[in-house]
Amino acid sequence: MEARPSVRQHILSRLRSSNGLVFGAAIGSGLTARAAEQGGADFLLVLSAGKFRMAGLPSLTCMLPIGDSNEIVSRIGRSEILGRVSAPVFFGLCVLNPRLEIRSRLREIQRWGFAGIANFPTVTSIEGDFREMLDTAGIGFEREVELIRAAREEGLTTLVYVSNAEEARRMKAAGADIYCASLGFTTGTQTGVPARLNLFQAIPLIDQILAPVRNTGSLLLVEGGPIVGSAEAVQVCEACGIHGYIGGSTVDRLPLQTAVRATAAGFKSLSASIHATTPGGRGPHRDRWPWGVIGRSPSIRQVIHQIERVAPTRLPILILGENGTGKELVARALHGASSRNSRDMIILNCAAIPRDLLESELFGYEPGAFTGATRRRIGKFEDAHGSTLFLDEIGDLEPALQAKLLRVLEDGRFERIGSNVLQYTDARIVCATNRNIREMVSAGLFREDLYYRLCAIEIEIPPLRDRAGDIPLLIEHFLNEIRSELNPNIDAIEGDAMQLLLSHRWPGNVRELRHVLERAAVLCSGSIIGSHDLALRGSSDFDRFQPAPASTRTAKSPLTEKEWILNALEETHYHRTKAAALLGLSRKTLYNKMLRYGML
Amino acid sequence: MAGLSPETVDLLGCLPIANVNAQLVDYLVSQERQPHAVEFACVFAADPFYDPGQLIDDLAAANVSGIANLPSLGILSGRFAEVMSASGFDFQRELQCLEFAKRNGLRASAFIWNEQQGTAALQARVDQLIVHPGGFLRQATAPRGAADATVALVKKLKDRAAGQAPILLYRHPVLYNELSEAAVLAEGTIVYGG
Repeated sequence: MEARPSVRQHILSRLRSSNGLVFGAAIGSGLTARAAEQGGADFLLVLSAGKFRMAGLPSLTCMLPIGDSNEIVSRIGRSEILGRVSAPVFFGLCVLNPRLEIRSRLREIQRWGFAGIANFPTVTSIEGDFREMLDTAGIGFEREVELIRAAREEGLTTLVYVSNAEEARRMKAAGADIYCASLGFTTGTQTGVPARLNLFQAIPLIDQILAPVRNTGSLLLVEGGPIVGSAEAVQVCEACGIHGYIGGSTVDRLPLQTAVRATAAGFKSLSASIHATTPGGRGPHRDRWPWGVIGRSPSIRQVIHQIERVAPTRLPILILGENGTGKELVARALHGASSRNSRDMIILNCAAIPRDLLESELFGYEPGAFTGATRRRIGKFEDAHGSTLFLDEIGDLEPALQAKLLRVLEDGRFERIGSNVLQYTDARIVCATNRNIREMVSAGLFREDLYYRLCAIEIEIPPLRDRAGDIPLLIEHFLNEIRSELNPNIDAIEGDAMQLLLSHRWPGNVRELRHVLERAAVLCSGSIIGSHDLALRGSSDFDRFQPAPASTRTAKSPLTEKEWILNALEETHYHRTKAAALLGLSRKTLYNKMLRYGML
Repeated sequence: MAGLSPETVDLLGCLPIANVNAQLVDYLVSQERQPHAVEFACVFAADPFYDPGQLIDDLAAANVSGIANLPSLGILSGRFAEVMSASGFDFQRELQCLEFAKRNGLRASAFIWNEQQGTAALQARVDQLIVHPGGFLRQATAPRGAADATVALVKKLKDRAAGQAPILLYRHPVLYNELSEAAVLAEGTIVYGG
């Protein structure tokens, strides 16, 4: 019978109710512990590895015979952390010493006030002969299983590092509460650890490791390997449908309080933003991107929702968006989701065709209609009969053609040039423009009646800078394509490069992002794209970013206060001071509101 | 470590359960010894916290005349060894410490587990090489093969050393009898003291 099940259950319940993804900070000092908590860490894990990192050494020195790991953790936990933080604190307990009395140590740990324990340093980090020897000598993994069994019986919350499915299975039998799929020590140029797998290879591996403990109600986390920052962590968690991430060297690689807090806050804000927009809350999110429209931000989900709602109808649609936002992609989605999808969509870029040829392109002509018209040619409207006609850059259509287009929209009737015979088309018209069509109407440059015919259904695609939370997902998608098309050696993006991409204003939107990644992939000399490989148009300094006037923001549909804050965080790339300024709040008030909404 | 099997002790020395160098120096300093009473002190020669200069001074103050690299990262293999090495913790780092000790007046002995390490130790001009017969698991499951491999390694290194440094054998207790042939071939043996 468990001695104190209520404490354990309380902790697990607290972690399960965390806003967004669970974030555990593996730390080695009181300073980093407090900074991580302020940044929103859901729990703290005191490890000797954290202590060594503070001394400028890599995490894996925690495996060397240079100190008693348990004494280090005990000293830090008791003198610097316990009583100074409110988040649950876990003890990284090493059971490799056969002299260690597990039960009595667990009782001490509980008495000191630790919420739980983790098997760390762990033999799961070790491979090869040495690991086999440890297991054979009885001081290997079986002893860690024994630790978890005993800890459960003592009522402590148990977090286990596992590196394969068999280890997960054995820990499950021991009754572990939280599983962390260990991908090995964090890789990258900063740690010196060579990469064994990239982010996208990590995803199936995590699936494999955690397979025996899925759907058991346990919390599933991940750590290490190619995950070098919050963006990668969120990406992997989302792709694997797991609950969160433990950050070690990714959190306190720089022993600066602000850096730790910023990293932790970045993870929580990013994951909260994504979860706030994901139906069904936490849990597996394996849905493929509907119609190729990638993103989980509120604005892009609104676009997807609109596509699903209006695609089956015959109504004309006006797609608005800056260059590079994906207007043609949305048009294809509308066509693909309609009953017309058995035929190809017909595309005409109104700005790409000389004005005097545009009419014949649209309506076709009869022989003799004009010089050189020697035979009949059908136009795009006829071509698109039974299908969809996508008219891009509709703002460039001259007034005479606007009138003819209006007529086609009204009743589907038109005449070929040089003919009085009425033709009929059952084409569904989808138009797009990057221009401010309303201003063009006001200025008399675009027919008002045509605008009102078109704008019955308007789909506005947000610029990329307004949905920064989608950038990691887009990068994942593009890197997959780039690997197959341009450079199969590209594994991942370094953390600082990812931060740069997240903070760029993206005047060229998704198209620009793709081009930046393609260029980087071609010029990158290794397998990891670094910040020096990125050529970003204009300045990446978002200090110069001037947010839209408040009046235009509030003109959108009413938001809850939480959404309002999330939007501001996203707009300022999770910079709380800037978000507070944008919202007209003090930083402290913003902090309190985030606390109230469980965003910390 | 009293009461534990030699093979377990072998492993424990490599694990993060103690500061092995600090413990060793404390022990040596606490004992009253005649000058050069201890010929070789076995240290973890890749210790990132113990400055090699300080370590040499401390050992000399304890009347130690030489050092050897045990516990050693040389026993590691596979991915774990690879990531350790990428972070600067490997057999090569231990050799640098031995070279430093030699330059500062101590004698240097290198425990080695394979031919590559043996060659590197000879290039580092250590005073003697000690062939470690490897992990006990392999020996327990295929003792004859392990003993034969040790014989072959001793032979190769003797040829390569060509008198530059004696090739000794660590006559591990798990494989004591099987190592008799290697012991005859080697130019000296080290035995487990318990």
